[in-house]
Amino acid sequence: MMERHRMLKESQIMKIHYITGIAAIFVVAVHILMRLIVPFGSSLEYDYIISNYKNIFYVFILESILVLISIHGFNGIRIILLV
Amino acid sequence: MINSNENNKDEKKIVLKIFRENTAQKTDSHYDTFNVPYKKWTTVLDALLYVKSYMDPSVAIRYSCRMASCGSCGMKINGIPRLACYTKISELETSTIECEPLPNLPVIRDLVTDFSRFFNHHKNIQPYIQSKDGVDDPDTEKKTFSFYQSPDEVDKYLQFSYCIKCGLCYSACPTVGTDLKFPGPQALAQLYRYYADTRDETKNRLDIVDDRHGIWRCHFAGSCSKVCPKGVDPALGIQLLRSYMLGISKNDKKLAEKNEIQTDEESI
Amino acid sequence: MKEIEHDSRNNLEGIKGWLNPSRYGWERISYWFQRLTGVFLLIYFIGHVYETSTIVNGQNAWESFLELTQTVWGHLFLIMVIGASSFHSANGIRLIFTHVGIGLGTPSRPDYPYSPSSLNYRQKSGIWIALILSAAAMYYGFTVLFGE
Repeated sequence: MMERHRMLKESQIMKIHYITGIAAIFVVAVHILMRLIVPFGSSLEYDYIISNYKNIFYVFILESILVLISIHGFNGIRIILLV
Repeated sequence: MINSNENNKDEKKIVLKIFRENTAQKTDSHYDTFNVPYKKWTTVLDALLYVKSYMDPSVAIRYSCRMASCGSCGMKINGIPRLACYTKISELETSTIECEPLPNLPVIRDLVTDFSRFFNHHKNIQPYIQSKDGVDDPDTEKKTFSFYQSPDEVDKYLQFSYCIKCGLCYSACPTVGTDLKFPGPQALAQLYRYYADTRDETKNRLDIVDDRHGIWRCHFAGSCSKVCPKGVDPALGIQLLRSYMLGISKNDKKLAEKNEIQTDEESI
Repeated sequence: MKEIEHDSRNNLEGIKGWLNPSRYGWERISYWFQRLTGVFLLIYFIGHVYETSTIVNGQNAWESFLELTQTVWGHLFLIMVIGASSFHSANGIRLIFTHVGIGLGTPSRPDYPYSPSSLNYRQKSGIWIALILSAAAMYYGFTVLFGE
């Protein structure tokens, strides 16, 4: 049962899982709200999106979504696949 | 017995479908169907014993106390793990009752399953009170203690000590269904039972299950508590244990006061 | 008699056990939905990153890829994503609370007929709220995507 050679204990991994989950809710909410302040159609226009990417705050939000969801999502898959 | 004919007229019958398989002889599994008479108070175990006595003595079942105390007669009845002695036919409100072996435990024969894995998980969590005196004091064997516990301290673990190890929670758990190394609700709830006991002084009890196949694979599907025939609520024990592991609940357990009991030899 | 191996997978319910959640009540349904929506959202996430990354190839590449997704089925898929993410978030918050022992009650001496305190109505209403929230979010998504 006891496996001592792991980098992180399972309780630490799960703490990360919970924290990334909660944090992802907030950053995804910001991401969705940024889309909602303009009509749905114009939110997808090329120029609008490029201008978004020039906003360093928004880029930071997108990057953190990428990191948080990747950690939370792939750890979730690991949990499901542990048989 | 004078009224036996009259009784037979009123007698209700139930269709009992029993799973049959003999793994030692590698026979194919199939279901045998029996028409069994029953009364308002007839349990599924009574019906199975009727089949064994009057219809087919080769049906294999395991049972002992007939009063939900021993935990031997667990089986899947109409799709849900239950104790056969604790399930009345009249309460099931169906015309057919399907009896199958407990899922997630290897079948030995018919309704009898192998509990070795289940008990190994139970043993693995050290289900006994460990006192430091047992380690430090070479004369411990000669010493006996009485412990003082307040009713509140007893209430913290008493519920979980009612476990009869019937394996129903183990077979209802969706995680056990895929992960053999997962200790299962029974073992984890027992870990909480000893962890919460003020007589226990074990320091590293929680480390036993802080593993990738350990307590974190519980996702609170609640099925264990749903099927428990003794009201043990294993899901509650597991979540409470986890709150200690995450440091949300502080373990400020005050160890029970010990009083050495004078043995007869010493007092003489 | 041959001894049965302890690691025998004989009679394991496996994923079949997950597929019929209705036998054990709302908590089991929530367990199943949480997994299902989680996997679905991860698939969407990978697809979404791939989809939006086409923007680096210029306006034409972006617009031609957008055409593929701006269909009725694409919108229905997006509505599913909205529902799944709302449920997964709301139910996930409930689960984190339960995992740290909050909202489950305390151990007590069980009396017949037993009613486990961990399967209380706070938990059940948490699941229902998550389902209602996700339905509301899907309705809102529907009005935005199909209302134009």
